[in-house]
Amino acid sequence: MPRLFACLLLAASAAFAQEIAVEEFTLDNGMKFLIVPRHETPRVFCAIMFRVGAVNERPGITGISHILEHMMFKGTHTLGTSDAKADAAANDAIEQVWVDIRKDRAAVSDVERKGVPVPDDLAQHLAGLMAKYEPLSKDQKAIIVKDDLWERYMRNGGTNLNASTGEDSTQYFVEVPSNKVELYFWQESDRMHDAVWREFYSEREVVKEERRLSVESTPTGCIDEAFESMFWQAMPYTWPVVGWMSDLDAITPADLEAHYRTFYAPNNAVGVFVGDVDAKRVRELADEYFAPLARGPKPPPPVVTKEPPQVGERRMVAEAESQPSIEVAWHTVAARHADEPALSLLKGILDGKTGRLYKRLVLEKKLAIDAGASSDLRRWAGEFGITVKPKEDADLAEAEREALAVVDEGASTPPTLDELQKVKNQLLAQVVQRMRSNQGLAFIIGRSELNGSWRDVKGQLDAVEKVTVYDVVDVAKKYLTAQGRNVLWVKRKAPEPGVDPETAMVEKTLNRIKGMWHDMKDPAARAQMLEQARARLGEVKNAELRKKAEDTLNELEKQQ
Amino acid sequence: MKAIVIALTVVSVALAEAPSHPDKLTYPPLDYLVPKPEDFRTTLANGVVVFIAEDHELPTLDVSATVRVGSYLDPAGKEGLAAAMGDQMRNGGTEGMEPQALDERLAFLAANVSSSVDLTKGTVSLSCLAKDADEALGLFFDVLRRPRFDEGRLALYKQETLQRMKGRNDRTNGIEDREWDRLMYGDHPETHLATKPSVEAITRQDLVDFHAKYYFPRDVILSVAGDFKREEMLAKLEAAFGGWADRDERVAPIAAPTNEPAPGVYMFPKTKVNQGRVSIGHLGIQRTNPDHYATTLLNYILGGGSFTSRITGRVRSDEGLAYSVNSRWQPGTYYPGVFRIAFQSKSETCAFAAKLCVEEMQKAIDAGVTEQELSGAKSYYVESFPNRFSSKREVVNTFADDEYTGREKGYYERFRENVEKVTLDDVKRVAKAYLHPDKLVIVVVGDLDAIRKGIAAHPATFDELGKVTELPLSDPFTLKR
Repeated sequence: MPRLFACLLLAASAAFAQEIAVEEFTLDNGMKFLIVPRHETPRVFCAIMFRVGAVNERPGITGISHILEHMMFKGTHTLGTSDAKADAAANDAIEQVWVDIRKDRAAVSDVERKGVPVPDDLAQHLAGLMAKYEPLSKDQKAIIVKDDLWERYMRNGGTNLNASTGEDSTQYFVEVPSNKVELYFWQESDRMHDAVWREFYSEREVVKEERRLSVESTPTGCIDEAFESMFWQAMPYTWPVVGWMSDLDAITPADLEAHYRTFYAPNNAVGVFVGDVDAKRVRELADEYFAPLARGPKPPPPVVTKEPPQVGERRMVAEAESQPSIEVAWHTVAARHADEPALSLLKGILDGKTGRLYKRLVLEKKLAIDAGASSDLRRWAGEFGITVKPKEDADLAEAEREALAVVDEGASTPPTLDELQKVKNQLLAQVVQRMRSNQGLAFIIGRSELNGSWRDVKGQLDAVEKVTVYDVVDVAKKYLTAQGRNVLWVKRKAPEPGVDPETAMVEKTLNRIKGMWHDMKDPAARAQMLEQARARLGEVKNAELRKKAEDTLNELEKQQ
Repeated sequence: MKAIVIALTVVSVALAEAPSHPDKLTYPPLDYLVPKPEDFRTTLANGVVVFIAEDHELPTLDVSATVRVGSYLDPAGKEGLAAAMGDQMRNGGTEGMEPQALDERLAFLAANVSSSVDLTKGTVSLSCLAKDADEALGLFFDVLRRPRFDEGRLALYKQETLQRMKGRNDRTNGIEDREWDRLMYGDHPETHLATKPSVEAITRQDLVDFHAKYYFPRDVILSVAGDFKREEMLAKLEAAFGGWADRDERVAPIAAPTNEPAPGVYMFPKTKVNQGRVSIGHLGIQRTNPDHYATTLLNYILGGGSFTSRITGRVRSDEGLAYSVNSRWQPGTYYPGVFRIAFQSKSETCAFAAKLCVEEMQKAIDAGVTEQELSGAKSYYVESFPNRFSSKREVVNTFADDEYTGREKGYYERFRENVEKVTLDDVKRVAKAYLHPDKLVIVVVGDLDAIRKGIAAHPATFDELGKVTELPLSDPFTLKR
C-alpha cells in the first residue's frame, strides 16, 4: 500500500522550526487524503473539501453551490427515508407540479416586465398549482426520516458539525469520537454519490431566509454586495455566494443534479483528518468506502473568464443606517502567484493598530476611529483593499485623500526593516496559532491542497521570509494604481422618523377633545370628558409628553 | 454489502465489511479519563491559584488571568467604567511604556495581549510564541499590575464608544437583545448599559481608582498552557507577583435580579427590513438546581439540538420559515438564567412561526418526549463530552473558570452519569415545572405593518399569543424611550 509521509516543517528562521507530521495518499479515483495524528483528546476532526463554489456558477443559477450544500443534508436512497421507492415517486409527483408552476411563474414574469397586472385566471391557476403541491409535500413527510444524517452524527457525539460554501470551495465537517470515524466514512461516501433532492422546495425557502438574514435585513448587506459586483466586471466572482433572490427562485432539482455530478467527483475532493487517528486506519476506511466511487466522467471545467484591465476609477456612493465607511479595492493576482508573499507583507504593513493606515488616520490626523487593509487572493483572481471608518463628523473626501496618500507612500518609499520584520513575525505566528486546534490545522492544509499542495504552507512561509522592502514597493506600485481604484463611500442615513406610538396616542386624544370642546356646552359632560382624558393621558410613560398633555388639558379647562 | 450503484469497474473492491446501513456499524469501546482539576491546580507562595499544563505540540504559550471584578461594580452615573478600564489596561500603555511603544513591541513579537471586563469577570490574556515567553510575560504582568491609563488613548476610546453607541439601533439584532434583557432583568446590572452622559463622565482618575480598588493578587486566578517546563514557569510566575501587596477582604459577587417579567408581546419598529426577529421565553433556572440535567436534555429535544430538535424541524425544515431557529436554556451561574426561543423570518410569517414555537412548547408539557428522543439527547452529551477538554489550553481555562465561579466539586467526573440517570418521567416533570406558556415574554423587532399583515395561507397574529404593546426605539445615546 503506497503511503507518503512527510513533515510540514515551518522553518521560517533559524530561531524557529516546527514540524507537523502530515501523511497523504491518493486513491485510484483521484481522491486525495491528508492525515495529521494528534492524540491529546480521543476525537478526530474530519473534513471533505470540494473544489467548487460560487465561481463555478453562471447567471440564472447563482447560489446553487450553496443550495447544494444545504441539500446534501437531506439524505440519499438509504438515509433520510423509510421507503426509498415511495419517496422517489413523491419527488417525481412534486416535480411534475413544479414544472407547471415554473411555466406559470414565467408567464407572471412576462406580464410583470410589461408593467401590467397579473391576469386573474393566471393568478388563480398558479394558486391552484401551489395548492396541489402543498399536500404532496405534506404527505411525503410520513416517509421522511427527518435530518437523519445530522441526527446520527449528533447521537454519536459529533460536534462542530456543519458545512460551508465559499467562492472557491465547499466543505463538510464534523469532529467525532475517535472510535467512530467509520461513521464519517459511511455517511460521507454515501452522500457523495447517491444524494437525493427531497424537501428541495422548503429548503429553498430556508436559503432565502438565510439571504434575508445575512444580506437584506442588515444595514449594508445589499451595498456590500453591489460593490463586489461593481468590482468584478467579468469574473464569476461578481455574484454573491448566497446567490441572487431571483435565481434562488429559479433553480431546479435538475440543475442541482448537474452541478453535483460535475463537481462532487472524488477526483475533485480532498479528505482531511486531524486528531486521534492514524493514517493506516484512514487508508483502510478510504479503500473500503471511497475507492469504489467512480472518477467523474470528465474533469470539472476550469474558470476561463479573465478580468479585463480596469479602464478607469470606479466609484459608488451609498447611504445606510450604519457608521460611515470608505473602502478602496484594487485587482491583484490569484493565490499562488509569485507576488502573493509581497502582497501579504504590504497588507500587514498597512493593517492593524500599528499599521500605517491606523497610525495616520486615527492617531495622527484624528479623522477616523479605525482603518485597515486586506489581501484576498482567491483561486482564480485576487483583490487588495483598504477600509476606513471615519468619525461621524469627518469629511469623507478628506479621509479618502489621507488614506490614499498612505497607499501612495507605500508605492514610493520602502518600509523600514523593522516594519517588514514585524509583519514576517506575525504571518508566521498566525499560522502557528491557527494550527492549535484540529480544525484550524485541517483547514490550513486542506485549503492549501485545494489551491495546489499542502506543502505550499511551508513554501509560502519561506517565500515570505525572502521578501525585501523593495518587493513591497514594487507590488504597491504595480497594483495599487489610481486607474485601478474601486471606491465605496457609505454615508450615515438618518433613520426614518418613525412616529412614536405614545406620541401618536396623545395627539389623537388631544385632537379629539379639542375638536369636541366648543360644541359641548354642558359643564358636566365637559368635566366627564376631561376626567376620562386625564386618566388616559396620566398613564403616558414619557414624563415630558405627559406634562405637555396635562398642560393642554389645563388650558382647555380654563376656557370654560 | 453496502449498496453502491455506480460504474461497474469498481465492484471488485472488497466491501465485505461495510454494513448496509450506518446504524449497523459497531464501534470499539472508548475509555475516556476525565481530567481532574487537582492534577493541574497549584498555588503560589502568596496564595494565588494557578492551573498549569505543559503542552509541547506547538511552540506556543497561553496565559490567562481571571480577575474578581465586573461591570456590576460600575457606580451609578458612570456605567461603562469597568469596560473602559478593562480596555485601557492594555490599550492605554503601562507605567514603563507609552501605549504606542507597547503596541509596537507586542506587534513585533507577534504576541497578543488583551484585557477586558465584562458583567461578572475581568480578564487579561496572553498568546505568544514560546521563544518570546520571558519578554511577553513581563508585558502581560505590566498590563495586569501597572497600567498607565494614557489620557489620549482614553479620549480615543470614548470617541469610538460614542460612535458605536450611535449605531445601537442600526441592526435589528442589537435592538432585540437589548430589549429582551430589559424585559427579563428590569433594573439590574445586566441592563445598566453605558449612555452618552455616563461615558462622558468617565475620567482617567476613575480608571486609576477602579484598578486600585479591585486588582489584588488574590483576586487573580491564572491558567497557563504551552511549551515550557512546569517548574520553570511557576518560578517565573512567583517572581512576577513579587512586591504586589494584597488585602484581606474580597468583593461580593453580583446580586440576583428581582424583576418579575411582565408577560406579553412587545413590538419594536424598524423600517426597511424584510425580515423580523422574534424572541420568546421567560426566566429559567440556576445551575445549582439539580434539575438542570433534565432541563438541558428537554431543551435539546425542544429546540437546542439543532436539526434534531422539534422546533427547528418544524419551523425550518418542514415549513421553510427560518434559517436560524432554536431555543437556549443555559442555567445561570449566579442567578436563574433564561429560557429563550429565537428565530428570524420574513415579516409576513413571523406570527405564524411564533405560534408554531409556542405550540411545540405546549406539546412538550402535555405529552413529554419519546424514548428515542431522550436517548439521542443523552447520547449526544455523553459521547461528545471529551470535546470540552480538546486541548490543554481548554482544560486549564475550564478549571480556572470553575474555580472562579465556584462550580461544585466533581462536576465533570459525574457529568455523564448524571445525564444517563435522567428518565422520561424526569423530563415530563421538568417540562411541567419549568416551562411556562402563561408567562411568555415575546419580543418582536421589524417592519411592524408587514408583520401584522401576516400571510393568507397561514393566518396568525401576535394578539393570539399575548397582550400586544408597541414600544418606540430607545434613543441610542440615553436609552430613553
